[in-house]
Amino acid sequence: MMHRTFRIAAVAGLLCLPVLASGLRAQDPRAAARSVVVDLSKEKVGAEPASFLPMVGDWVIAQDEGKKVVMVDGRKWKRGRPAGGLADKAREIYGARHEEFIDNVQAFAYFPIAVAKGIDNFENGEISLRFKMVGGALDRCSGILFNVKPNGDYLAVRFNGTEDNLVLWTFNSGKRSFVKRGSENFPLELGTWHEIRIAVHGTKLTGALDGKWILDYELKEPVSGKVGLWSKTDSMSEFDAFTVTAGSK
Amino acid sequence: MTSASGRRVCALGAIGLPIVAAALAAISAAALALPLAAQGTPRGAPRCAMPDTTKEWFRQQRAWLDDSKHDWSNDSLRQSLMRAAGVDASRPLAVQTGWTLLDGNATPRDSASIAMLRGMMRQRGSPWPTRSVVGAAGVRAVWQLTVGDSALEASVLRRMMEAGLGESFEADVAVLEDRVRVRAGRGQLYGTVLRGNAGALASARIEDSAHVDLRRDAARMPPLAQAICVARSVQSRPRP
Repeated sequence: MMHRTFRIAAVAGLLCLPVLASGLRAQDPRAAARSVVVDLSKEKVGAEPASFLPMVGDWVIAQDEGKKVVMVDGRKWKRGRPAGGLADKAREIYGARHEEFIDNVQAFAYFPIAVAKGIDNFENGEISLRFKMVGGALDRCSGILFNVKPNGDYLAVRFNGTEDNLVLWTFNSGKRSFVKRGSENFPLELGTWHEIRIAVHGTKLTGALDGKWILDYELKEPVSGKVGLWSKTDSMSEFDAFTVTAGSK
Repeated sequence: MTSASGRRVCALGAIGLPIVAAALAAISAAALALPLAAQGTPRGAPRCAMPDTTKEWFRQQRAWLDDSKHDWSNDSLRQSLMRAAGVDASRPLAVQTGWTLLDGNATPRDSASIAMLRGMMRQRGSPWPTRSVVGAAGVRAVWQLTVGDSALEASVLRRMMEAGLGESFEADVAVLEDRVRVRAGRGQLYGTVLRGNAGALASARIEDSAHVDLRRDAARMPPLAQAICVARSVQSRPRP
């Protein structure tokens, strides 16, 4: 399948390109099979990512073998606290409706999340990322955040290196619920790159780890919302090649 | 054990557990305050700087291990665990500097307590002795009862990880995870499992060794080189 790839410059102004604002709405026929790869090359090492909005946890741009990556650093993060400037960030993505989002995010402050900028709405298609587990005494989680609603509810498909599994979780009204576990466990080595990919077609969700489709679930309602990166408590993980491909319903 | 210079090292032998199980690096705060050289390094033992007690890892460990607020909910369980593990409530809990020796033939110390822990683990919904339930000393007691019992280590590790931040002591969890991984033939993550003889102690294989000190820092432990040096020194001391 041929994809046109648009590099997102890590500059807020460029993120407002119309093609990105509407490009992931599946109902837009122009959006079919269009990929957006978040480009980190212009990010500043040691700073918060400009291409993602960290809502909970410590997210920084790190250098990995000469390449810039997003790193969630659970070392400093203790007893759930939102990222700095949460109110401003919430206002940036949800405008006047940001207060409800803040309430819910604070309830989920156990789970670091960073919302991708410039991707207003993902409904159908694929989301993938590469991740590398670096550490975490109690958790080593890396995941895809999607279906993020203005009230702070969301879905996440994540790999947990302490359990070796890929799992779909829902987060609704301040409550996390297990949904479905992948059919196989994979003990992955720390310090090595792996890929999580999800595909959404209507209410059908599938998930793959390193190209192997091991998660299959029928959602109660279609997906519609923002997307991003997900982690848990003291996890230290690196993320790269965050890619969103809009597809037709 | 107590050295000639009066330095008390809270290795397993010093807390009522079989020395053969492992030589834990949980060193008392008092011992850490003195450089090894000032305490009389034994002949043949390496000279090394003790872990820096002004660092964040030490401060955070001491804060977590501080039970002065008496904020636990089940004191009878706490007392029972502490008795079984030989944890002395009148002394500060030992800081975990992050090294251990593997020995698969340890004998459980208190069969009733071990049975109680196993019973708790069989019941998924049962209250696990976390910090809010039994305090830091109770959590440390569970850990001490567990270390050296290969069957128990993996199950307790899972419960400690599930308990989450604030309820489990990350440094002890890290040591436990390394032991479980090495026993299972996997690479360890924190380099805490040492092998070899006294002065030649070295870490068993480490997975992603490039980040080992980052992970140790995250688990509130000093750098690996310091821990190994301390371990070599402690193991080089003549036993009474």
